Amino acid sequence: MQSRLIVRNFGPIEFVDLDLRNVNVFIGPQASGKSALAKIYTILKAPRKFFKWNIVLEGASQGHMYFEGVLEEYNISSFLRADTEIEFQSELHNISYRDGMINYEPLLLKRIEQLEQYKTDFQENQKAILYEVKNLVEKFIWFNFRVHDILDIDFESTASFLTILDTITLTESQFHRIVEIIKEIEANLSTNAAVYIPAERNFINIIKNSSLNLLLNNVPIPKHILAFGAEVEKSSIKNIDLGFLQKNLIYKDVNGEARIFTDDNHSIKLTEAASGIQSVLPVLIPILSHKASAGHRSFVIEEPELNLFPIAQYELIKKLESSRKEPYWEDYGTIHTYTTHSPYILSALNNLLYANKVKRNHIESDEFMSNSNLESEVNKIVSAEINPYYFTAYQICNGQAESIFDRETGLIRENYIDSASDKLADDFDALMDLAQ
Amino acid sequence: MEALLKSCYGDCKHLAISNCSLKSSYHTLTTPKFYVYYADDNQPVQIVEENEDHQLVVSNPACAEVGFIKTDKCLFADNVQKCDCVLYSTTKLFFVEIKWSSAGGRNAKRIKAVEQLAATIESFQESGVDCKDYEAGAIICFKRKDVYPTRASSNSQKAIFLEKYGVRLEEGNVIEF
Repeated sequence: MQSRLIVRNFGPIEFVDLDLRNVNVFIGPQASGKSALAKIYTILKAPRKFFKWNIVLEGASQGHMYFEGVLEEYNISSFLRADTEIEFQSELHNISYRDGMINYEPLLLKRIEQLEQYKTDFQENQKAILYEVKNLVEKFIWFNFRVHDILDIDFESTASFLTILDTITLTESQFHRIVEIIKEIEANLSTNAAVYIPAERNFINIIKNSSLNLLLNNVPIPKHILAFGAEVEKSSIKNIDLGFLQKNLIYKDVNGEARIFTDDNHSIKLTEAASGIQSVLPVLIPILSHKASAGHRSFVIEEPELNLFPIAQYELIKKLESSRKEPYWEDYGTIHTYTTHSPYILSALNNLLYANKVKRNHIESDEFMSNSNLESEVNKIVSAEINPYYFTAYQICNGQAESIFDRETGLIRENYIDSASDKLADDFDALMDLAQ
Repeated sequence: MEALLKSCYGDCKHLAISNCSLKSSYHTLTTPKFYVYYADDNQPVQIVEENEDHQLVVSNPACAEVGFIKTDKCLFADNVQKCDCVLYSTTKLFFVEIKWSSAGGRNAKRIKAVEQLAATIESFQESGVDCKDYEAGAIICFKRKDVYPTRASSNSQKAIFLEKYGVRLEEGNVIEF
């Protein structure tokens, strides 16, 4: 899955043009704008969740105010300037903001409208309808399944589905059902906002039992933090193995109360647990909940490293990436977008990229047949992998974005976080010189 | 290897005016330990005594024949980008670039060192030396080896060297034969 985000003159951002895929990483100094970009991505990926298209905006100033209101939900409204320009392009829609005007182009919806127009002369348009259905089944796997079902085509059929679609004749009733299904998928995807997992996630555990009092006293909690809290609250997951943080550690939801078990008989409240556990659970709960469900979901994870020992950071990335389903189709799988300051998170992601590369190089080599257990050897070392094709990484600094991912080698290249390690070493060397 | 390289590159480009105690680019050592020093003064690397300043220790406990080739500012002309020296035995081969790190700029120096090592490996490969015949390493030698936080890009660079040249890229101050 691929999309493009272009942002000009927004807060600290002067100009960025980002190619975004299934695992995206933003690094950069404090206040460089990496979280703002992740938030814009969250909003524009699901425009019908955040924007109401039936209201009429009179002129640029109303458009500006309306957009500002949407940005307010993510605490980034003051970044909006008179000369801000934002553009997001994806398979589903294009949306842009320029000169106070919001322009939304629902690409998939337009294709559906075109399909609906074929109803007027159904028999005459059979070929065009099937051509469009073929295009859609290639990009939307749930649509593909439902069309199989409607047309009563066996999944085990030896002939390819696309070939079968070339030979069949649709009935009008089948056509109507197919249109309804793609409309349903489009509506779900266009309102399916990414789950933004904020750096303030520990806060959710603390306020969980005081939420009514906070509301009563009008405590201004940013809407995206409340939205995230609601996402965690509605999760159905009751049990998470936290053995990667500490041996035998398990999270359990016991009658609505979050507890951390150190063994079968001993447990403490989540709010009493170590800060690392309190930071990790709000990341794992929504992500592991989605793992069990079908469909597509995006997660933006702010600073996954929060409160974690370096090895736990590495283990967390392995856990998150091994639970991620690659979105080969627009309506399936998971997108992870990370913002980080941690050299361990960056190296962990690089290790996962390299694990995939080692496997692929082996498959492509002549030695594949003679040593086909290399894949399991790689899995023993690193229990997850990332396909470099679906990976992007940027450093955001001085208002610009620079890719730190080498698409040719499939690995992360020189970047600000790595330079920081050298700065520490440089200073130590200088002190050693003085000490001599 | 010496004959192969001599046929391609000859010997020291400054033989007539060299101040080095060992004037040729090629030497063979059999001592159990020897020390390499680079003064950053437009001269090639030198073999020095243990009590003298040095950045690299070469350990050779079996007293095997170790070939020592002074590459930068010696075998190769000054204007050619190459690493400082190459050491080899019948089974091992090391390309070494020494960088003084006291003046800071470790990051920029590392980037430069990687380029110099890659250029030398490629030259050797062109002259017929196949790194894959050896247990091969490319060593960036700072004043001291660091154990500071992991660097994703350094790991990437190691993977690229291994894949492209069959050579292990490392940072360190000790070579063992």
